[in-house]
Amino acid sequence: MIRLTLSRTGVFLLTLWAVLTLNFLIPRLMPGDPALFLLGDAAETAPPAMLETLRARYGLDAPAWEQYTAYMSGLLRGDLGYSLARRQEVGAVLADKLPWTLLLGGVSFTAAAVLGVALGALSAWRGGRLEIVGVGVSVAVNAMPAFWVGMLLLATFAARPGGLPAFGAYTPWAGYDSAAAEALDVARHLILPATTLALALVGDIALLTHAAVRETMGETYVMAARGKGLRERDLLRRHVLRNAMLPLAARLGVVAGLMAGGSTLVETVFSYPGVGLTMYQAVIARDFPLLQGGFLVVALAVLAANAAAGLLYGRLDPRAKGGAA
Amino acid sequence: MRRFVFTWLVILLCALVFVPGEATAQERAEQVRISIASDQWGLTPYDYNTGYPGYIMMSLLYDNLLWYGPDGEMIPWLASDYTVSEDGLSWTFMLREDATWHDGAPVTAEDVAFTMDFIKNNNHLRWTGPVTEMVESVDALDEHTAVITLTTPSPGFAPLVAADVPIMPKHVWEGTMLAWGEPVEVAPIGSGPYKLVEHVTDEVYRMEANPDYWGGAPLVDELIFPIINDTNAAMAALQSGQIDFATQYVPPEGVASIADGETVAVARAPGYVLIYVLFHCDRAPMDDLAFRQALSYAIDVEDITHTLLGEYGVPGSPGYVPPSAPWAAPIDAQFDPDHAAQLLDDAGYLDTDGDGWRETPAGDPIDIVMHTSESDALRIRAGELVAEYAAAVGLRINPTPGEFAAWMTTVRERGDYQMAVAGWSAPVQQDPFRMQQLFHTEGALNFGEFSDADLDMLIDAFNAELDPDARQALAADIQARIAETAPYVPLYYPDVLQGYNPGVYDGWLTIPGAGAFDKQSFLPR
Repeated sequence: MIRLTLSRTGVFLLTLWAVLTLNFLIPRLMPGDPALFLLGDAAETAPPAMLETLRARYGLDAPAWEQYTAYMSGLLRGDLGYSLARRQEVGAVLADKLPWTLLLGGVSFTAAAVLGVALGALSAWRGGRLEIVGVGVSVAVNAMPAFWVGMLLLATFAARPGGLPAFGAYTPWAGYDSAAAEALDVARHLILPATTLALALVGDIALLTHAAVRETMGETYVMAARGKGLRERDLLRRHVLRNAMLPLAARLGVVAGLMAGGSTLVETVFSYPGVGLTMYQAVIARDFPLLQGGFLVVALAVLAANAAAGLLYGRLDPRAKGGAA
Repeated sequence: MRRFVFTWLVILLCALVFVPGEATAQERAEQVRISIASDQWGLTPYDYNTGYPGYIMMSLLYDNLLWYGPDGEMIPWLASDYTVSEDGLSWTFMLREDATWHDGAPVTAEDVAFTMDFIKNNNHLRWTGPVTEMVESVDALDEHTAVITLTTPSPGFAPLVAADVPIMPKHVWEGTMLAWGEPVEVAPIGSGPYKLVEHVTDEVYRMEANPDYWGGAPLVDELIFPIINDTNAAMAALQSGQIDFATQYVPPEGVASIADGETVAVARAPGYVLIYVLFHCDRAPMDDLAFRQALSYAIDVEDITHTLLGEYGVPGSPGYVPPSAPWAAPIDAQFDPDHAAQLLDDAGYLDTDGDGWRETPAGDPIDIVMHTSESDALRIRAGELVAEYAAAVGLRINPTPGEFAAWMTTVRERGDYQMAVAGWSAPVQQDPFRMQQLFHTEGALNFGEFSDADLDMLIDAFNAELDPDARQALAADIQARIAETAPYVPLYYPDVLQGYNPGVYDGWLTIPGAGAFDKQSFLPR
C-alpha cells in the first residue's frame, strides 16, 4: 500500500514537472512579442530601442535557460511571477478570477452531470424510440462547439429588449436591497454562460452513461436481481447505475479537461470575469507569466480531478483498491 | 482663427435650425453605459492603454491645448485662443481663465510648462519624441498665457503636441519619477469634463460629470464603462438595453439587424482607417515599379469595397489619404486589367513555361505569399479577393492568414515578408505630418522600405512649409506621386459605425475619423 502511494506520488510529481515545463515552453514557442503588445497602438510608431528597453525590464532578453530557472525557482517559493500586461502579481490576478470560474464550472458540471446521467440512463433503460432520440440528442449536443452555442444563445435570449444579461457576472453598482437580490442578479448573469458550458459537457456524459448502463444491463447479476422480483426503479438505482458509475468516475479527469477548455471559450463569449477569459487575454497580449500561472491552475485542477477520480473509483470498486488501477 | 469662429457659427446655426421637436430625443441623461472591449488601465497620461478607446477615455479626464472639432479640423480647446509668431517659432497660448483641476486648483501656464518638462524627463512612447524634438522651452508669461518656443518652425507641432498632449497638473505630478513598466500611482486628476470615480480592473469604470467644467456642465451626469470582450456580446447587450453605446464598431453586415429603428440606432461617420496591400519594395518583383503599377490596375477596389462593406465604406484612393480628410486630394482608382496585362507584358513578365502563371523577366516563377491577419475577418477576405484579381492577370499570390501577434512579428518587426494586407489606424491617418513617416526613405513607419527621390523631396518641402495654402498644394502633389509610384494598393476606408440607444441619450456627434465617442458628444454645444 505504501509502495503504491509512493509510486502514485512519483507519477504525480513527474506529471507536474512535465506540465510546468510545457507551461514555460508553449507560450514562448508562439510567434509574437510581448513587448509589442505592452505598447498597444503605440507599437505602430515605437522605435526599436524602446522595445529593447521594455524587454530588458521584464527579463525577456535573457537566455531561455535563465528564464526557465527563474520561473522554476519562483514557483518553488510560491511566486507565480508578475503579469506584464496588467502590472499586478499573477497570484493576485488569478485569486481574483478563480471564484467566478469555480462558480461557473461547479454549476455547469452539476447541471450537466444530473442531466447527462438521467438522459443516458433513461434512454438505455427504456430503449425503443426514447433511446434513439436520447442518443441522437446526445450526439448532436456533443458535436456543437461551445462558442457557437454561446453565440446562438446570445442572439436568441439576450439580443432583445429585456433579454438576459449578455456579459459580466453581476450588475456593477446595482445597489442591491438585499442579499437575495444580489444572488438573483448573479444567477441571472450565470444562466447563459452556465447553459452553454453545461451543453458542452452533457453530451459526453450522457453517451458514456448510456453505454455503461447498456453494458451493465446485460450482466447476469442484473438478470438474477430481476428474477428475484426487484422493482425496476430499485434495480436501476442499486444494481445498474452504481456499477455503470465506474467508467464515468474514471472519466472525471477528462471531463475536467473539457471543462477547462470550454470555460475559456464560454467566458470569452460572455465576458465572464474568470480564469478562462484572463487566459484568453493573456494569449492575445503574450503575457507569459500570466499564461504560465493560468495554465498551472488549470493543470492542477485537471490533475486534482484525476486524483479524485482515482479515489472515487477505489471507493466504488473494491477490486481497484489493491493495485489494478 | 477666423475660420474657427466661422465654423462654430455654422454649427450654432445648424443647431438652432435642427433642434428636434420630438419628445423622444434625449438631450440629457443621468447615466450612459458605454461598452469597451478591454481594460484601458489607470487613465492618467502615463497609464492608459494607448490607442482607441483608451486615449479618448483619458481625454474625458484631461484637456489638450487644441482638439479636433466636429468637422475634423483642429480647434482651440484648453487654450481659448493662440497666436503664432511670424517666424513660426513661438506659439502663444491663452488659457481659459475659468479652467480648474478636478481638485479645484486653477489651470495655469505653469502647468503647461511643467507638462512639457515632465514629458521630456519621463519617457512617454507617444510624446517624449515629438516634445523633445520640437519644444525648445516654455515660458509662463502670466498666469494664463504660455509661450512655447520651438527649435525650428514645425507644422507638426500642432497635431503632434498641442492637439495631442494632455496638460497635467503640476501640483499633483511634481516630484514623481516614473520607472518603465511600473504601475503609475498618481491620481487621475485632470481638467476634463469627467472625473474618474471608480475602476474595477477588467470589469468596469465609473466617471462622474465635472459640474465646474469650463465648457459647461456635461449633459450626462454619469458614465459607466463595462468591459465586454466579445463584439457579438456587446451588440446583444445594446439590443437588450444593458448598455447604451458600444465603442466596438458595428460590423457592416450587422447594421440592418442591429439598427431596428426602436431601441438601437447606428451613428455613422467617415472613417480614417485604411486597409491596404503593402509591398516589400526592397524585394523582387515588388521592387519593380511596373509590377506594382500593374497590380494596382488589376485590382478592382470598388468591387472589393462593395463586396466587403456594402454601402458602409469608401474605395481606396491611390493617393492613400482618406477622401474625407481635410487635406485630401482624392484620386480615383483605375481598374483596367487589360492595361495591367500590357504593363506586365512590356516589362517582361511572361508565362514562358505555359503553366498559366507569369514568370519574372529573369524566368523565375512568381509565387508570392501575402500575409493577412485573422484579427479582422474582412481583411482575410480582402486578401482572397486581391489574389483573385491578381490571378486574372496571371500573377500567383497566396493569401496566408496568421494570428495577429504572429503577423506583427513577421511583417512589422522582422520585415520578413513579400506582401501583406495591413491597416493604418485613424490617428496615423489623421495627421498629414505622418506622410514623412510612412513614405519617406527615412520614415520610421516605412515598413515596405519604399524609396523614391521625388517623393522624399516633396515630403521634405511639405514639412518645411508653413503657409497653409502652399501646404495644401504640396499635399496634393504628394498624393499624386504616391499614386504614381504605388508603394501601397489602398483598398478601402471602412465607415465608423457605432450603435447607441437614442431613447437613453441622443446627443452623439459624428466626427470624421473619430466617430461618436468623443468628449464633445457630452458637452453643451
